[in-house]
Amino acid sequence: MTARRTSPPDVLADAAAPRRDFVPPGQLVDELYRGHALRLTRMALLLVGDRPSAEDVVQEAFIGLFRGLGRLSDPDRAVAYLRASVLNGCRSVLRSRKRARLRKVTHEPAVWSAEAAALDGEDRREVLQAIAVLPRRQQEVLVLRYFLDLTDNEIAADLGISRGTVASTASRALASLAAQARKAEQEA
Amino acid sequence: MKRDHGLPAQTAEAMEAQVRDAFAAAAGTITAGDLPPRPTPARNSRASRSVWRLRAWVPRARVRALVPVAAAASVTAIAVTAAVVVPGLLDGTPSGSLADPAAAPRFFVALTADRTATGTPPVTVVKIYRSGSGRPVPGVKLTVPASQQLQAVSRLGNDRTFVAAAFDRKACVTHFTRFSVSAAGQLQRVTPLSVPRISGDVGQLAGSADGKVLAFTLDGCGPRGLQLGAIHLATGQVSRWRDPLPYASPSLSADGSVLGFVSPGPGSAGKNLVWTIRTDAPAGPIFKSARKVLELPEGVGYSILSPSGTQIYAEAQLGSSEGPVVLNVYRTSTGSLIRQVARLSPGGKKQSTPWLALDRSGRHMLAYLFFDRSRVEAFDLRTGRHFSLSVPQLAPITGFSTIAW
Repeated sequence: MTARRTSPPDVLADAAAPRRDFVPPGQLVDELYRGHALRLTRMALLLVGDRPSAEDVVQEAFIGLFRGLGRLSDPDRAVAYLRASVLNGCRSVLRSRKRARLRKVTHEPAVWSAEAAALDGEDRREVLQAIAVLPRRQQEVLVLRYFLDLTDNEIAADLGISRGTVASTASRALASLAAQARKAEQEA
Repeated sequence: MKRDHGLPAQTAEAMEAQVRDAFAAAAGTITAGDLPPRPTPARNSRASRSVWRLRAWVPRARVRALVPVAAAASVTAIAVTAAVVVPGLLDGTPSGSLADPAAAPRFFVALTADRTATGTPPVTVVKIYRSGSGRPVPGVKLTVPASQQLQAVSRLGNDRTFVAAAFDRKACVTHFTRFSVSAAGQLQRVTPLSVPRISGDVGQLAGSADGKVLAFTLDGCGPRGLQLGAIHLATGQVSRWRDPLPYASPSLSADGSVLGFVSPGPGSAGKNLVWTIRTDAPAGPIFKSARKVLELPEGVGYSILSPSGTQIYAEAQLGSSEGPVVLNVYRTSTGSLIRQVARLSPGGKKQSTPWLALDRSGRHMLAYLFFDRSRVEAFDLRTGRHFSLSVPQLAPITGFSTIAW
């Protein structure tokens, strides 16, 4: 499946947009980092599986924000911009892993894998493993909905899809998870 | 109550709870203390306040408006460059890298397969190629009637006049067609060559630079077997020599008086040697009149006489039977090596007899190597410089392509 890149929200201003007073970029990014970096890193972890990659993705997103900050028209939407950047970064990581698998390059084990000891509870591990094999969009919808607790409208805006598609994608993802759980029970 | 996709509400809620719990647990493996410090792009870390203000001021919309203008300017620049440079490339002589491009012929001809119409089987035709680019002149080809098959092509006289041989299997006779190539690469003056009837299948052809003699190898379709022959076009006299041995790569001196060829010859234990014979020698057994001029340890696959007839270019193999193949030039008087002209193939499995074509001046040579049918090498024999031409694959219906310029 080819991942479609989500355009970050249009928070980088046109000439006609009103400019806010100058704020030192370092200060603004500091505030955003303190307030949102942990949540975004956790979100990236749920999508890419391992902490080093998740941290890299979030760092890249903040660097991107830093560079575009001079054109930022609405600081309130910077978080949405960061979220979209993290989503795009996660897709890039997953794409590059597909290529790396062809070259047999190993990477950090996923947090839900048997090799990773950080996660408690076999049931949780199984749920996360089941989510990891869902289609990319279903994974993203689940993370945005059940981890970030975003509304369907916010998810639709972040992913560039309709609200109805968000609802049906989530429903389809849950149905797949339930089917996998039933199958696992029968096999047990 | 059912939700979408047939999942009962209770199950869906249970799944949601499990997903939330699993997400929370996995997310909990990262704490605030684990986070690296905020990244600071090195390039922007020292950006001054004025730089940031300048970036904020830049009229992005205006920049965007300039994009189509810049694109149009780029397209115009590319079109102008193409219009100026491409014709030079297409019409140029073989190279840029040849020392005296003006002296090299602008076109060469070759046999290749072609379909005369969609759905019909391919037939062998003669196509005209630009020496500068290796590309065929579009839509230009010499064809023969369906009962005949083109077998060979050679220059006859100046650089723009050629002769093609086509074999009529049913009648066991070869027909010759003379044609010219115009300055624009078009076929001109396509006429049957007026010569006595040549019974048999002409395999290879060589025309003299003065346009007066045409030499050929011939399979006589009968007990007479293989022959070597020369037609004196002014008088219509045909000289034929035969012996129960194969002949190959005929080539003529500029005045058509000496014919060089490759053949094992008597007592050579099957190894190919280079021989010459005067074209006015009496018909009959060839080795009564021919003179051996070159013998190499690994034999010779192809040779070609220089216009003066005093030198002969021959492919030679270095070392073992799978060694590299080189093109050397020798004295016909003594058979001694003058120098190595070029390395034709790296050896190993990539070795085969090439097809060589010398231009009228004797200065430029084309080499077509059968292990790579999409490449023709061009050499300036005076300077030793050479370059490769990529050509559409040369592959006639039967046998190998012959080229001429």
